[in-house]
Amino acid sequence: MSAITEQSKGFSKDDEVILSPTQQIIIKFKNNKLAMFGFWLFVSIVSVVVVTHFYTKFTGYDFSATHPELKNLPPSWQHPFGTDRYGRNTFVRVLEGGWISLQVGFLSTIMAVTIGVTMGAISGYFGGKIDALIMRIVEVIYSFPFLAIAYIISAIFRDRPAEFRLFVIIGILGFIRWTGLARLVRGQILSLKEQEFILAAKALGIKKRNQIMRHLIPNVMAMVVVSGTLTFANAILGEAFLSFLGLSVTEPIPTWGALLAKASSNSTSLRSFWWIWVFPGTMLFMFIMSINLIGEGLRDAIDPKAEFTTKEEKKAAKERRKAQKKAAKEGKLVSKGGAM
Amino acid sequence: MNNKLLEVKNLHTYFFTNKGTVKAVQGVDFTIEAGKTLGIVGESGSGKSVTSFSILNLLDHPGKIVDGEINFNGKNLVGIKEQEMRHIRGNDISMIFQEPMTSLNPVHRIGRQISEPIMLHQGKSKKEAWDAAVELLREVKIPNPESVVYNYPFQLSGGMRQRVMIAMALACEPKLLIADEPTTALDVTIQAQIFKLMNDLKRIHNTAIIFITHDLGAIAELADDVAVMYTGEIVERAPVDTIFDRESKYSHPYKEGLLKSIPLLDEKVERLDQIKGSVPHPLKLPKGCRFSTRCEYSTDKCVNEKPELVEVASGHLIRCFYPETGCRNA
Amino acid sequence: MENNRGSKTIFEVITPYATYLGKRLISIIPVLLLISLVIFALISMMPGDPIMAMLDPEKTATMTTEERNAYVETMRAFMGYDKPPVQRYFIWLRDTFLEGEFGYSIRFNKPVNQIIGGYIARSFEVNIIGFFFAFLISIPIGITAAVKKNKLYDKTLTVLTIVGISLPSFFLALLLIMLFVVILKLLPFSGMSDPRGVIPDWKYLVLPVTVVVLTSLPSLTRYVRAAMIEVLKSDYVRTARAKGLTEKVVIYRHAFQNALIPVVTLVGMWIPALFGGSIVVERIFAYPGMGYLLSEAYNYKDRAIIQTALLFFGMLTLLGNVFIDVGYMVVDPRIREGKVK
Repeated sequence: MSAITEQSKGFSKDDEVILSPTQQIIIKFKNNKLAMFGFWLFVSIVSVVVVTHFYTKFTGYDFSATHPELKNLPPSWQHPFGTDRYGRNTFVRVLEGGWISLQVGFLSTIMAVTIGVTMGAISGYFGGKIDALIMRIVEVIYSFPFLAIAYIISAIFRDRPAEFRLFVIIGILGFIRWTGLARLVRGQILSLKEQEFILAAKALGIKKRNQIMRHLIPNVMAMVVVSGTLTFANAILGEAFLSFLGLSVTEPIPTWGALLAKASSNSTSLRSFWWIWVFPGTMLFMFIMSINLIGEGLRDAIDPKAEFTTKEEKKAAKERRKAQKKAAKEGKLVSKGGAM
Repeated sequence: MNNKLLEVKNLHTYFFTNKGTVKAVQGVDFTIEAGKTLGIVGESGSGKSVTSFSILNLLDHPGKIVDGEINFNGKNLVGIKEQEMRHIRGNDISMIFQEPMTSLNPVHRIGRQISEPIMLHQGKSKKEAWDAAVELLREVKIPNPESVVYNYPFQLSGGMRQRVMIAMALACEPKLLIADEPTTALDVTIQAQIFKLMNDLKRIHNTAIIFITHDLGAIAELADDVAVMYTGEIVERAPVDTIFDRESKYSHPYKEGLLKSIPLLDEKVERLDQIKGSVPHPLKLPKGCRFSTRCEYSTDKCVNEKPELVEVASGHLIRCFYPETGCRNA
Repeated sequence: MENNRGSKTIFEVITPYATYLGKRLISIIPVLLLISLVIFALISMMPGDPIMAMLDPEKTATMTTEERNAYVETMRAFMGYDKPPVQRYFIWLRDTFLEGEFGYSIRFNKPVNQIIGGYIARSFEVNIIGFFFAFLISIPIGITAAVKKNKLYDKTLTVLTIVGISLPSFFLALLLIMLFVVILKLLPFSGMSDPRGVIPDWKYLVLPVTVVVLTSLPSLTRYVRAAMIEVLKSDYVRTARAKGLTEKVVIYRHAFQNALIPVVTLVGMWIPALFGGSIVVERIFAYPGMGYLLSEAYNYKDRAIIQTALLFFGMLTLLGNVFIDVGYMVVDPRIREGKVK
């Protein structure tokens, strides 16, 4: 009986407070342990990387200055990730590499999302010839062997300065990834278009631009955010791929892929100077994992069908189950006794 | 006593969700004899479907039978081994579902789906079962059964698919057929055909039927006995004529409300009555009579105390403190 | 599956598939042309004179400037670089698609079509074996996870798959090398065979294949799980249970055949992606497949090979799409019967 009254209390509380979808998403996300782990991992990696970048920038620390007397030192308090063959501090270089990854990730994701949402919305909303044209373009870009093409584009800009190459990489990654988003947004808009509230907007004579911007886009935003996290992770992975192959930003600027590549050429360096590749590899892995965990959590959070339970509810359910088992045991005993 | 095919006693089925225990079925009793049809009527959430799934032990994950007996042919099905239960499913007791459009496997041919239980339970060969499937399709009045067996579900209309479902359910000549809203998704004309088919089959094979619906009209056409369910409990049980007798001395206010919501041909009404309010949330059921929140005759007693299911006349059971229609303070 | 209306010859069964396959193959031609145009344009934009890159310094060292210029012009004409780009593009198209001549490799000093076969075959070997194992493993674990949804098994698997998806293939490859080559000394470091003939060839395949399996496994498993969860919720699964079928039959015959429909999409998309990924994997293991060939060609500025390799990767993606459509026809009767009529 007490459980029932407690429950009904819980519900009446819910009834009074009507949560907006965004609030619901936040609550669901906060109650997802894995997602929160990913979130804090992400926040800590990003803050360490950003702080290091600006610290070295303002103190004038030269992360590419060579110190032959300090070369190939294993990890120590002085150099937590050891030093490379030029005596450079791997710790600082790994974090500096994170700065490149962050830039590539953010900028190319923004690019992909902007192009993808715009093209998808136009395609889905207007339909007809425009739709056919955009979808054809999407199909063609989609069929391109991304890595192989990036190879050649990178080769074309081989002699340009590192800064310029960085933007080329961002451009390639952003351009390659918008197609998936465009397809997603188009599909969503196509199904939303048939729903009543858009018909109502049309009937009210709302301008096409406003129909798209105010009514359609907000409704696909949740999906876009989830897909955007995936794009982000893929962009960082893509950059690491390219820099591993020596096609991204090059020496003396460090990137995670390039740091890894250095150790891979022979088994001696793989073993003897393990700190040179293990640390950047682990950072890359943890960073991508944190983004994937966030994406996964968001996906669950925006799914209205997904079950979710708060900590309190989980606790209560556990207790109820215990009580239930107990009662069932006793009940069985009683009925057995009765049958005998 | 001896011709009781199925006897459900004090059935309790709960769903243990993380939000709380949903008591979907609480103390349901009924019996059914061979060749008879029991209609279970109620709104969605009244526990009528859960009752039928409990009989076949096909409850989805957090659902569990916590108390009661389901005696089928003298054997209690509650707590028997899954292996034994499987032998009964599709063989002695079979089931038709609400959605003919989605209840057939889209990637298997009709013939294969019908012959599957025949091969399983009767040990017939593929060829024999396939021929039996053709005969079954003929029996449920599907034109061109020889070619329909080779079809896939998507090639058939909703009504045809429901006939296929019936053919499949009848494949092993079950003693009991549970039909869970078999016509809800179909057009009215198709509904009538399906009802006729079910009545014919019942007569020929002497199959007992549990017919679950929210449609009182369908009940009137098919059922011998009726149980009216509300929030997991039976509120009134009686032979079909008693249930539909508007002049009856005894009646449950909920059923009255249901009856008032159907139009009568010979009566001119300005506006059909409806039961006010809605079914209470399964986790927030009223303390006293479950219907007290919506009942126009509700008293303090109704709000605070729970009525029992009482036999008010022979074979007529009602769960109400004021079962006599004449003695209520309106 | 039951025989379709009694007796149908194999020919009758195959014909609709073949017709459809033919139609689909024709439909990829425009896209293929577009891709080839982009590839050609990009290659033309690569810095440096292709003829200069292929000159033999020893041979030209003794020449006078005039002799050298004349020699360069001859070479230019031989390689077809004396013609305007548009004409060159069409010549390349004709040679590639009609004659099966993919150009002349300056690195190997041989026509590309004489060397490329072995590289394609070796890439296929690694990727197909790897994908086969990944598929074979992911299906049962994906199904089990779906059946045991939200139980410990499923939750553990969810965490493992996220870890797996987040592990970059090259980092994974280095970790595997560290473990099996450097520490345990079980397997050779790189290459495809032992020049001394001591280590058996299959040992060289183990690590590249393992990387392919481990990088494919998490995504495949998640996909199979998601598809199965959807299907297990459906009404026809309940119908199958109500027939009294065993859980095994319900899951594998009724549910999985339906879950296979979305999985087909994944296979079609995955195979081209695998080959793209092999650029890195093959390079780490110095395994001479298409990816390795491309990265080498890049270092040597071997345009003919770069062009051919890019076209190969582009073709794979397009064929993957065709595979998806034909695959749907095989597993989904709704599409199959629609196409037949």
